[in-house]
Amino acid sequence: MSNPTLAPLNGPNFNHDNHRVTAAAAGSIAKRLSLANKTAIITGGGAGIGYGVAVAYAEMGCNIALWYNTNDAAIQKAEALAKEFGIQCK
Amino acid sequence: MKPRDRFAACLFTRCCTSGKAYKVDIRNFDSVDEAVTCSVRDLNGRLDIFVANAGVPWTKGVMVDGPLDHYKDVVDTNLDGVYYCAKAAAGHWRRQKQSNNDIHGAPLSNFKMGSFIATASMSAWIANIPQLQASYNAAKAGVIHLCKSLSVEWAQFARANTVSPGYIYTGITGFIPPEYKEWWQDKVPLG
Repeated sequence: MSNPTLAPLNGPNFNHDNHRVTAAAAGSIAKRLSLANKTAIITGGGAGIGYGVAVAYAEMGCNIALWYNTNDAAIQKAEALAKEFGIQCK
Repeated sequence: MKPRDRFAACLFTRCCTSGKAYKVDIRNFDSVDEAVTCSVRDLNGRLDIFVANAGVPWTKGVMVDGPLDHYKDVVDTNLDGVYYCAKAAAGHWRRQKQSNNDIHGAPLSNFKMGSFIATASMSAWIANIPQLQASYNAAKAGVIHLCKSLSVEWAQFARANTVSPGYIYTGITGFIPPEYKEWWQDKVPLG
């Protein structure tokens, strides 16, 4: 690999070696938006905006870790999301 | 950090999604770092998206009288916490991009780049009224510029973006008097 540390710059010049993917290769919009087999961590995920994001990601098939500090309700919410969008979680 | 249902989660090999909850104090980098690794190991061995959304409001009025420990808490959670989450997550994304393997060493499929999304705020752009919250505003402005900077640093392996919500009906404004909320709502053109 020519850039093993994945540094963004080589001196003052950006490393532009990302490969573009054609629309045909990327697939349908529905496929591109799918989060199947992907994983997200959401801090403050037990309530409010964080929980709203979690529901949306769960609908898209994502595996989710909800992080909370004082909001213990996150535990039951995590279980409920797993149940609603996947198989039972005890 | 106390992950729940760790053993139960291992039993689910055909789960469409698995959801797990973790108690994490994001004001401590070691807790954050350990929790990212645990979350990744407990779920499916990879990290794709990190939503750094956790935040606390400033609730103590004018800053000239406000307690310094509350100031520290607001900045520790809203800015430092985001920084620590970014640092921990980026370690995984860089490794995933370098090796194209998950945390167990198995090949990754369908990983292009990590995605870091921080919840900033309208407060990062303007100074809210009637409630006064200078430290919250400063921390949120810091989150935005942090993510802009990270998007450059991480160009080879992850993206970094922010979302700046206006007034959203959630628990963070639980301490606000109802008449403030009416005033806020009046100022929303679509309101």
